[in-house]
Amino acid sequence: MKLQKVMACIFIIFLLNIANAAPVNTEQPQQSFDLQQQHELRKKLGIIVVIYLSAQGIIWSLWFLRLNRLVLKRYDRYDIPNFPKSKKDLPNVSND
Amino acid sequence: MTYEDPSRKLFEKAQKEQEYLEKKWAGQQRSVWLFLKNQWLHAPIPRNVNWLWSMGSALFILLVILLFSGVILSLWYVADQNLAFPSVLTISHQVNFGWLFRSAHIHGSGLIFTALWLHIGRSIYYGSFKPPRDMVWYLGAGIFILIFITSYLGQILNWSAQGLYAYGVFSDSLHQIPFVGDLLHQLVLGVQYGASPRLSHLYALHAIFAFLIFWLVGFHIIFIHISGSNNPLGVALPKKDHTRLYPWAFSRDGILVTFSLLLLAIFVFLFPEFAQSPANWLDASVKVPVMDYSNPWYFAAFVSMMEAAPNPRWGAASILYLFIALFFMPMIDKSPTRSAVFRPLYRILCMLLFIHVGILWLAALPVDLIHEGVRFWLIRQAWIVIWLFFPFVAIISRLESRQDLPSSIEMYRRQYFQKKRRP
Repeated sequence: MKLQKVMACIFIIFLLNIANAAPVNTEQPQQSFDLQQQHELRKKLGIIVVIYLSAQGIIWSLWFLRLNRLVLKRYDRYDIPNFPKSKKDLPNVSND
Repeated sequence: MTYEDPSRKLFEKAQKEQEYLEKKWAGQQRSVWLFLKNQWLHAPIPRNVNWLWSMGSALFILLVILLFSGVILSLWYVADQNLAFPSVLTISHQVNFGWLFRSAHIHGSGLIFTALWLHIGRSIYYGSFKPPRDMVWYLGAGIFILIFITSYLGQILNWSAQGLYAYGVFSDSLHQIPFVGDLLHQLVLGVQYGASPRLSHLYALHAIFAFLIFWLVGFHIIFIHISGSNNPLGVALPKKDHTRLYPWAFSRDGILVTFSLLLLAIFVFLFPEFAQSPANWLDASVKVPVMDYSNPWYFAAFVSMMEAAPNPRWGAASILYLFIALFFMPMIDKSPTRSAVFRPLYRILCMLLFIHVGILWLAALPVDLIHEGVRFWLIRQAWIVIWLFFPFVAIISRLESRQDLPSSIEMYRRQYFQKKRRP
């Protein structure tokens, strides 16, 4: 819960930060701006966000894999005793 | 005799009222939570649904991102012929994190189209468009058409050389519509008042359609919760074959949402210029040779369809045909069996369609992998397949023989294993 509050505060500061910018410059819009600096910031932020989202994805996947196993265990063999799970489990039945 | 203070009584009454209101408020909060719990987290989900069923959650999150970034962009964008392009440059270069929101808006729409093709393909293959989910399908088809129009309008709004080119195509296409073309041209672009209102008209439409899409998505979700999710077998499964959305399906949704956010982050932060035309960074007054224009990658399949058609009129007609045919899919396909799992002929048709839509997608990417002539005949073939898919579905859905459908997942597995046991 604490983490969520901290994240919310960071988000609000981020939003306030967006509002802070120069007015629309019709004549020479590219004057006071450093492209190189923006690219560097973008790359650094990108690496942080990609690592964070990958970690998040791994956590979700681990949770899903665990749940998937449990759900399959709980549902898959109900009311049929020894229900075959694969071809190998099938009994040998002769056709004659 | 004790003296009773009348103000004390009033105070107690006010206190009781306050307590009552607080309890009521708490009850309302509780009921909202209960509503979410019952309708969302405890919604019954068939336990055999696969990964494609999580695409809807990813689409919803992407749509929220698009709406949010769109609202932020609208704080800075000026819908005027002389100020539109400078305001876009200001957003990209001077507004704090403006580049982030602009990039997220552009690549978010690209990802939405990718996810939409998969979402629609899944509905066609597993027959999710048939009753009782036909209303969900009609709403979804309407949303697809609106998203197409909205993203096209968005491409024009930056009023760069590329935007002007897209505007020209849009304006010409409106003129080409028989009978009502000129009227529509005047109504949509406001050209009878001179050239200036056209950008503000398009901007207003872009914003209105965005909120309309959100509204329709709300109904889309409500209707799917009323009729319940379809499943790969396409049969109404018994209660024992259902599980709650939380946690199993929820965790799978989480994986797909995170994966789509990851893709978005990779495009936004590491490859912001992916499949973007350089004409996006030139003012509308700059003359650019026609070869340098390229449509955004989310229109890839539509661009290839236009290219494969014998002339632009046929190209526009084929896109219109695709939208209309998709909309009327529940009426075209009359087979009572939903899933393609039990319809061999329909399965082949679906596979042909998916492969050829994939070809259309890949053919529009700016990479020369194969000979130009071969590429052209591949997209021409794909174009023909798209035209023929719907009539063929109409015919085979009325002719094909029906298979016995299982009543539950267990029965399906029994049938499957019994078939395998036969020599």
